[in-house]
Amino acid sequence: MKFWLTITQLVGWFSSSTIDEDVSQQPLPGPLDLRLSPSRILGNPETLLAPAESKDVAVIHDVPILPIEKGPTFKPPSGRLNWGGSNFECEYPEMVGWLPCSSEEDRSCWLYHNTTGKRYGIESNYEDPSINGTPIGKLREYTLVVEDGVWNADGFMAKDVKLVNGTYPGPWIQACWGDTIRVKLINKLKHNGTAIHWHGIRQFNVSADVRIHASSI
Amino acid sequence: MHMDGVPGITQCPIAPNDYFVYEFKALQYGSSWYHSHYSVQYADGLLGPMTIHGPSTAQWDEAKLPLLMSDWFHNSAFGVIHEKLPGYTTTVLNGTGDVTKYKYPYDTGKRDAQDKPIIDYFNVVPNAPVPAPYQLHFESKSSTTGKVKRYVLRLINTSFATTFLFSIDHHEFQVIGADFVPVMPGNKTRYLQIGIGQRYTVIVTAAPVKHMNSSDGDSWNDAVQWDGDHPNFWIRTSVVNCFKAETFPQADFNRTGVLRYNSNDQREPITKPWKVRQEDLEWNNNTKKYQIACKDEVNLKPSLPWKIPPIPGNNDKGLGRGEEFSVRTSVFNESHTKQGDYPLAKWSFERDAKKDKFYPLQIDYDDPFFLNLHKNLEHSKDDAWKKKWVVIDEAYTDKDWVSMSCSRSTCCC
Repeated sequence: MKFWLTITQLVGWFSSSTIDEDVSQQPLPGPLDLRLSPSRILGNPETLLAPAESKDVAVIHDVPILPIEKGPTFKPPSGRLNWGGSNFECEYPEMVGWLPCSSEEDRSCWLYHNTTGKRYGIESNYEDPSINGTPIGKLREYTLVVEDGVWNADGFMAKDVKLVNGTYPGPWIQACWGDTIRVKLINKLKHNGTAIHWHGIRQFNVSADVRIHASSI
Repeated sequence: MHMDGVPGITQCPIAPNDYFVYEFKALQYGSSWYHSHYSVQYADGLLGPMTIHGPSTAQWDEAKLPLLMSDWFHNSAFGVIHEKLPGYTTTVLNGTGDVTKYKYPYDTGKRDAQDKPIIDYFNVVPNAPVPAPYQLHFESKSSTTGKVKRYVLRLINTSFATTFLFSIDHHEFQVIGADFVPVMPGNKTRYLQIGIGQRYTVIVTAAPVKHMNSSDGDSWNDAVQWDGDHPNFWIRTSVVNCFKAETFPQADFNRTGVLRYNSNDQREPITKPWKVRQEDLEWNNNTKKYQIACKDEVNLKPSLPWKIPPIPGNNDKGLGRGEEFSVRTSVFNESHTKQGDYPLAKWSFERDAKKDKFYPLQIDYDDPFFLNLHKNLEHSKDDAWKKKWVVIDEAYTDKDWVSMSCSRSTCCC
């Protein structure tokens, strides 16, 4: 959006009036998203024209925006990339003031609050809904496409295989304690219906608004 | 509830060219997997690992990718069951196996002196490249702590019909998680029996055990040597013959993975497996041999103590047994049922054991049970729960604990 704005401003400034007669009709940027850092909103200062010289163009003033405090982001204890690990990160943006505390010498701790001393760890009762036994994570979104295929696992081609995103086993779904997991499952099988069960997940206080959750492609 | 993904119970199946968005919270943490619940479809490969990162009951340095062990058929499970297509079952570890290591029986057509068919065995000829065994790499020392490195393995049995015994030659491990339940770290063990769907989170120390003297009183009686210059070890997924079958071709082979300490050393391991303790063996009267006993892992202590109220009911020990049901699996020689009646539905439980009609549990894909929760048996005929759902109506509240246990005396669970 901001790139388009930059180009039209340049055009408006350098071209004759045949290209853009009414410069005030240029598209304005959408509602400002305050969660973006200041540089995202203002754009690169070198590409914007000096506001004083284009009166009819939307002017974006240099308004300082205070950084929003966020909770911690950290790599969960996992593997290294070249030997079967991953670059996945845990994020708890809403848990301001909390810090990650899992280490090689103490895996019992997960998050702790440096002023109250409270912590989420191995002793937290995540089963009891009346207490805050679970931290507040973030939304993780995945898309899984199920298709018919053939697959060589052991030297003899298997037929009528049902592949998830083209592989057996399917992709690794990761999340962190407290996250909301959202998976869009697309059925591209020719002859079968399907559904995916999340083995062991308690599904506590979960229900479906079928209108937004299911549809035809 | 609706997000649990079970056709006929929590949703209708998703039709071809449709999509469905699941959304649920990860209140628990640990290792698990996702899989199709559309009849036997998951056996055709529709599954994958799922990990929710969180705290642990013991210290460790690095976690490896989840390790999925499974039986693997070469035709769709629907075809194997309904059309009797051959499966040529093998074992795969994270999707990797070797079909050349198995022999499958066939009837030669000849008869022996007792007029019994003479069985011979054949090898399946590969029609695609046979992959190398699945590889794990360990470093002996952690670069962070400078001490011996401790690895977490997330073991998952994603089989259709196989129980596995997992082990790594010359390595011991500690269980710290069973399913989504963090477990107090127990004694080190050399092998672990994993049933279908079960997950175990274990810590393996990157320090191979070289040699155990049989004279030190250890009943495992292991005298296996490890050549210190050959840092490659077999990872084994041994099939446990829970059916006590006479022939079980899948049990021919268990070396589905290799653990390497030096990725430049690609030699095949020369290690031998741990000896299974006598108390973990059982006699198979069909094969006339000892085999790994099919049994649960016990002595797992959850780290979070949950207070479970006493079970109601009476027996002579003063302990409640709750409500008892008669469980039956379909018995094909019963006079009132034919094998074709319920090809896949085989299990039922009823309040009255003397009923002469076998009602296996059955669901309707176009009438999920969750849309019928408001109905009950007292309603008019149009509103009643279907008999085939075998609904046991109980007045539980959200404060109640419900446990179901199957015992061998009443069924073969």
